[in-house]
Amino acid sequence: MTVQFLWIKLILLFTLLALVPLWVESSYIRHLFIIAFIYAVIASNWDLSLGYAGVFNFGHLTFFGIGVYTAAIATKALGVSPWLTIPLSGVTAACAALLMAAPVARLKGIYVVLVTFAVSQLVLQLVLSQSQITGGAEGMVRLPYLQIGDYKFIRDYKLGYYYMALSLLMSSTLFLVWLTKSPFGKSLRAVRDNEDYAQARGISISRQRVLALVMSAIFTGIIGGFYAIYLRVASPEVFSFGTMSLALSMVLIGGVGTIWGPVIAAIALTFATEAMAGIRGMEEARFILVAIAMIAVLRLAPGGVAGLLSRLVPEKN
Amino acid sequence: MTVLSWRHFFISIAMPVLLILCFAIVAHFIGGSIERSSIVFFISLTVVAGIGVYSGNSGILSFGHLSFMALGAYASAILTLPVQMKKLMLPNLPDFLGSTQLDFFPAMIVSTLFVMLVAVFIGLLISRLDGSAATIATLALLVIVHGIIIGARDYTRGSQTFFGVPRETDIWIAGAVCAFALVASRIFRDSVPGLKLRSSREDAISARSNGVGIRNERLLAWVLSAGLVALAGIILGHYLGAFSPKKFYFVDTFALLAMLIVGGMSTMTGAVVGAIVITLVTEVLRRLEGGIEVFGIQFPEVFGMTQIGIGLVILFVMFKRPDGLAGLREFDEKLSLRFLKPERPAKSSAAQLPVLKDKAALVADSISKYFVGVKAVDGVSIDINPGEIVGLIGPNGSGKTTLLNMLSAVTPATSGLIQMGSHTISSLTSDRAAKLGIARTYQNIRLFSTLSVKQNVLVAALSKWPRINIREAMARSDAAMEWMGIENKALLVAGNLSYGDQRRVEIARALALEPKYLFLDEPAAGMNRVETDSLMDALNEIRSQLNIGLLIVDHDLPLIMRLCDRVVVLNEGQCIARGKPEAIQKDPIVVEAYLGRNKQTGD
Repeated sequence: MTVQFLWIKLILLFTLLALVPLWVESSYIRHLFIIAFIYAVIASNWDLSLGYAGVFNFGHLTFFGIGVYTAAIATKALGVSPWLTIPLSGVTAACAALLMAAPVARLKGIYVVLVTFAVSQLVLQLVLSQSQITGGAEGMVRLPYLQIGDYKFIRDYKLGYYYMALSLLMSSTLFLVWLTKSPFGKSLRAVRDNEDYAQARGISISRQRVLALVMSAIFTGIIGGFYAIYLRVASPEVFSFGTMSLALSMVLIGGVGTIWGPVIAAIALTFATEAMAGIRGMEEARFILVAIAMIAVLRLAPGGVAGLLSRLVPEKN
Repeated sequence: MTVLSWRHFFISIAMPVLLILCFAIVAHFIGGSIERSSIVFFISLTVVAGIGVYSGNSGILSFGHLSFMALGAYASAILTLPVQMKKLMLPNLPDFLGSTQLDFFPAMIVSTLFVMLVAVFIGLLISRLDGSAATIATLALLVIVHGIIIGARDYTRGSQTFFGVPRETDIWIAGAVCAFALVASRIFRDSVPGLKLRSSREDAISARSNGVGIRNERLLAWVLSAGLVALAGIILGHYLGAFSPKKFYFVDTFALLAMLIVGGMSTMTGAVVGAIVITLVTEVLRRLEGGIEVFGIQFPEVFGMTQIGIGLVILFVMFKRPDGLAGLREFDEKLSLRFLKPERPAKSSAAQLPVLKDKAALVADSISKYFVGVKAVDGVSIDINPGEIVGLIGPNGSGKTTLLNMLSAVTPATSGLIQMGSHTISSLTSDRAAKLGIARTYQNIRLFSTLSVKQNVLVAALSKWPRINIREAMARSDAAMEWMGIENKALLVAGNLSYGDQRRVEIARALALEPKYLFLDEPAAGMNRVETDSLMDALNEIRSQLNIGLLIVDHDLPLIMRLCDRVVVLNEGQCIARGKPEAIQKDPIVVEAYLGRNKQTGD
């Protein structure tokens, strides 16, 4: 797809989303949008490592979880202002990614899955065992909230949080689009598509992999921090298979390697699963349906929805 | 039936059984918490060995096996729960379940079979997926089964704890199940389907072009490993007496995962090593964590030390030995190189490759391959007869390898027909083509690099059609290795051989398929003159004695000119000349394609 086309699509999307509060006053619907934006950031950043770099990172939610707990611990235990903890979450997540990337960069295939998943489990175990700091399985509650002067962000039907989440999603998306169109992004794809040739052209595979993981962690961590401050809780749920498969399904259903696909899928799936949660007896079934959809996409349309769409719109080279 | 000798086979299964037996006796006599930890150890080891059967051999990591564990535990729990308790706990159970109560062992067998049946259905769905897509599908499977177990309240009490399960598991039962799992995983690894599966793990493309269509093998491994893991779930349920769906979801996977990584999941030895190391580290650190006194020094309480410890062990292993502490070979395979006498082929005269009698020519009629914007091969016709050597030459990028890929059905042709007798090769997959007698080697050597030379060749011999039994296949592979003069390297790891030897192994592997036609992509690349000459002799003999038709791509023009009956020249995807080698050498069009126009060559 041409770059201009992508920009038009993104500008349209974000203008639409920025106008939503004009006619949506329900605080619940706005809450769903905020959650959708959070998932959109997670999924599209995951797409950077999974789709562009081809690193099969199964621990992406770890970066999110680290962001969540950074914000929670910094505000609760250290008394840092919630405004500061959100960028701080990005920093700690990026550092964690650097640590995780060190062994991953040298590994291939199945071992990457094993190690990234092991790291995420390790972090979960640490959170569970360090209950004096993290609250263990119970998690942490009543974190401080965001406000400017006397204006609390929760007011006016969560207006402040809505635009905060949207602007984070926008910055993250711009960052990702810029990154993937840059020479760095192209070299990532070169590594993914043919390691040997990429290496022969002087691209260091390990370095690109490490960078891709770190880059994908930054906004994931930041949005984790925001998530904790917004909901005012941090719980080990964020590391669970349920959260992971939901985010992963957004990447896959949206379309791997497209950035905008996962963003759209995140918004659609958040609303779909939330709608199903309202139906009695569907509380668990919604995860099942998402999982089935994921398998169906893998089997029938490996390019995801974005792949299907771009097949309809003839591609120009 | 395995691909090991009887003695080797006996040692390979007697050792784990003995080990488990001794372990169980010692643990039983010490008793108390050691005995309890040992039961958990046996259960974990069963799971790790079970997952290894699928993941280790196929190279696809599965998260879904925890769900088989859960299904096994619940099935057996429902079957063994006393009828009165069922009425209280699960009043809505269907009659046939509500009124039955089985003993532990029948319930164990029924539940395992039930899980294996479920695994067959799921396996049929996902066995088409490869690599990371398959891993994601197994994750989805875990989520689905977890959801179903919580949703099926009438059977499972939903997310509430299921209790009252008869506590039948003692150290002997756990040990027996564990030993069974180890033996089963070891036998599968060296069975014919296990060997084929491992070859596809090493190199999926060349496994296919050597006749290995892995779908059935993968399904078999999937179902078997589901059964083993289900057994582990069953004895876990009967050990705990009470459990909830959470037990099989996400908190408890860390230790299992660590065992898989640390030991290495491709071997049974690895499963044992991983389980022992992680269990020991956990037990030691857990005691330290509580703040104990050692030699009068009081250690402070440190929480989370166990996890950090295991994390460090994982990192260390990943840095030093990514394949796990045990690596890719079983303990007995390492032993056999040093202590056991290598098995010599009985007598070389008994092991002969059959002479081909088929007269069908291979005919490709105007075949093309278009990639986006590039016509890699454009309407080329070529034919080869049995016992003939055809050379295929042309400048770099002229489409030689693409043509070879199409002739061996590795890539489908965009248009055109390839036929051999009554068979249409161009509509087959490469494993079917290989079974019909089309063998090939690759420009950038594609061996199963962690398997032994003999195993490399054996995979092909076992995949040929019509099928032959293992004894015959062994004899065929010995004969094929002798043809290429590598019989004394049979037990070495293929990936460690010299470049020239690797090329020879690849040709031997192709010969073991007993092909009608053999395509060689730059067989002499990287060989010195002496090696090239001996290769030429071998190829000449293959042609004259076995009556195989050869198609050779090479840049070594003297080799092509001396060896070939006919030569076909490609340039920019089109055939620009064909004929006898002498004629080709003088053809002005060929000279121009190779050297450029006359006026540019200067002198």
